[in-house]
Amino acid sequence: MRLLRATEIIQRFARARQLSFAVVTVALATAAFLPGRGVLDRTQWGLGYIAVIVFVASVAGERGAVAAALASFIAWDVLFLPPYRTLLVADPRDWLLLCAFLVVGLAIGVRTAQSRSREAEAQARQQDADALCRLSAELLAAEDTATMARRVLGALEAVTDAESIAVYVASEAGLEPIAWTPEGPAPHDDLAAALGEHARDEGEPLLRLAIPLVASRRRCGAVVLARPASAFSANELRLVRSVANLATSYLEQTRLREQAVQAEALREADRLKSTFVSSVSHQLKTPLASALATVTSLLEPGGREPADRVDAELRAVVGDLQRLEGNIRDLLDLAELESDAWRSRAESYDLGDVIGYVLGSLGRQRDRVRLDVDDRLPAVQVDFGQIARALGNIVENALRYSPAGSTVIVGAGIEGPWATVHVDDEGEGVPAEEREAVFGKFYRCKGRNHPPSSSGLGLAICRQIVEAHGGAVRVEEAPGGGARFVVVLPVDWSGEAA
Amino acid sequence: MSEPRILAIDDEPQIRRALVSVLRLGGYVVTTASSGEEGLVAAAEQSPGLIVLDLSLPDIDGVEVARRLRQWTAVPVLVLSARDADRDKIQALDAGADDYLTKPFSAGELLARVRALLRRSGPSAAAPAIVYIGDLEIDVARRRVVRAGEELHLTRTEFDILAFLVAHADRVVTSRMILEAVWGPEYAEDRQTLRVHVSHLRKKVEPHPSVPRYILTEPGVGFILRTA
Repeated sequence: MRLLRATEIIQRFARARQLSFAVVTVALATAAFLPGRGVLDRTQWGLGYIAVIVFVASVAGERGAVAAALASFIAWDVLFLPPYRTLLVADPRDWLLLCAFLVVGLAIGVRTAQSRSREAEAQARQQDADALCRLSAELLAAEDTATMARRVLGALEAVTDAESIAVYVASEAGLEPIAWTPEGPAPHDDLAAALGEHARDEGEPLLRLAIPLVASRRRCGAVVLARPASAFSANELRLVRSVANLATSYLEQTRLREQAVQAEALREADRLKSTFVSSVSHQLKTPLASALATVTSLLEPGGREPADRVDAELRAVVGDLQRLEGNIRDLLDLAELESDAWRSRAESYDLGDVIGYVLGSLGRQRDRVRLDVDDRLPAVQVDFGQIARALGNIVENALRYSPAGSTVIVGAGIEGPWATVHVDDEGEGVPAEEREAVFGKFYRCKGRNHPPSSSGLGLAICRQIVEAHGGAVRVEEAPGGGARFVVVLPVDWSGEAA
Repeated sequence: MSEPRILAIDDEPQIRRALVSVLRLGGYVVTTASSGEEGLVAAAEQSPGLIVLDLSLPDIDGVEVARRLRQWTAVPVLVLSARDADRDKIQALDAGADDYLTKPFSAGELLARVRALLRRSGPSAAAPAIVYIGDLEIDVARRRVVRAGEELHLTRTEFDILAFLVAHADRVVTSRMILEAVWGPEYAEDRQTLRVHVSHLRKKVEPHPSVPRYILTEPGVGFILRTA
């Protein structure tokens, strides 16, 4: 491990200070060669220096190779070619040797350095490609934009030596920093200025690198990198661009997905609306058509024979019109509820006060209702009219869907924080699998005859009102086997209701 | 005495036509007006025995018509209103209307209300000495309330409220009307006080202590005493 580290330090030094490294290496080699000056022939030491040049070239680079060649030329000439300690040589043939050495040394050194640096570059590119590949896989798996931004940040840290990095993502408020380094408060870069800077000539050295993320002509984000000392290289720029492109495609993909989801929601709303419109037109047109047909039949020649037919037909028309009125009222209720315009009218009332009002509106049917309530009922904070309508719908349903003359029990009390009302009938009850569905708009229980006066909205209205008051409504089985509707509302503990 | 004349003020021709045919069926003489101004003039010229007044008129608001009528006549006014206009109902009743009927209405309902109003305003309309509501026996003159032979002890205020409700039985009365009649005009807005006293009154007269049957709250408007 330590050896590896030492090698690494030497390599880094060699690359950063190529000239010094070359001179030092040649000096060290010369010191090693000197004791053997007498052993080998003077020309053979030239080969030794070629080896030194190749070493320096492969470790340091091109400039180091040239420096090593020149230094070796001088060292060989001065110390190994007599007379020593002078550039002059005794044998004129040695000049030829020296020239050949210089040419060969330079050539070999430069070639070695070039191939070495190409190899290193290829290796680095391979590493970058691996890193980008890994990042793209990670980005695809990112569950949200913040995760994506953190991963992009990590990738940029890995491929550059930037001191500070920030990843921005566009929101409605503009570009917002999502992830950044170093840790601390969010960067308050002048982002616009940074992006403008980038627009300048790319030939200039960049101490700050700002890249906008642009997709479908929309700016969806930006990455900004900065460091104080050295400029960003072309290679770093290329890598940062690649990472930025990945981030862009992630953001674009997210946007398209969101659009698709919204489009789906709109289609669903459209579908619901058209169901609603067709149900509404059915609710309004059916009784109208029936009344119109009956009345026009009475106007036909002989339509009023026999005389008692007129009475029966007119009664049917009254039924149709009452049904029409009920349906219109329900639809208006629903429209009002969905507009939320009524909520501000909530006041504190005794629950019993509301129940009394509901029962008082029943007319003769009132006699079918039996009370099963506590002597003291809690106060509730409600819009009296709306809650009365909700409870009225339930009581009327109970009367409608149970045998004529049977008893409907209205109970009320307090359970923990809840004021409760339950309405039991002696009808068929609601099958378990339909107990949720009955609160839907226009829902019809399967295999059951519905009285013509039902709009199919009563329970939907009821649920909407009760839930808007922070309560809940459900249906279960009554002790006697019929249906039991239960409404719970939060008790108003605030004060004395009247 | 001849059958009373009824003035119907409504801007909708269909409603006017329906009112005329229903009221004629009830044996009344009917005249109509299609705007507030026209109605006020007709009321002054014809001295009708009862006025049926629509609230949404093109020129003057129905509430204002009721207020102007009350400046010079005690003729019973039956207001017709579109549903859910609670505020309009309160304003109309406070302005002096005697009762209101919500559209759409049936012929039977309309005739019943008209009969009731005419009976109360007629010359022979001496209030009955004793009123019976369910198992209650209310002797207004002697200020006594008896249930199943047992006298109930009501405070003066409670009895005054009950007496006012009895005088307006089966008609909606606004909180303001009760407050003005029982406490005086300067207490007209003190609805909380009224609610507390009504609550006490209910505890004494209602057959079931927690769910009222006679004295019902009329949401957004006031109270109604149900005798049936």
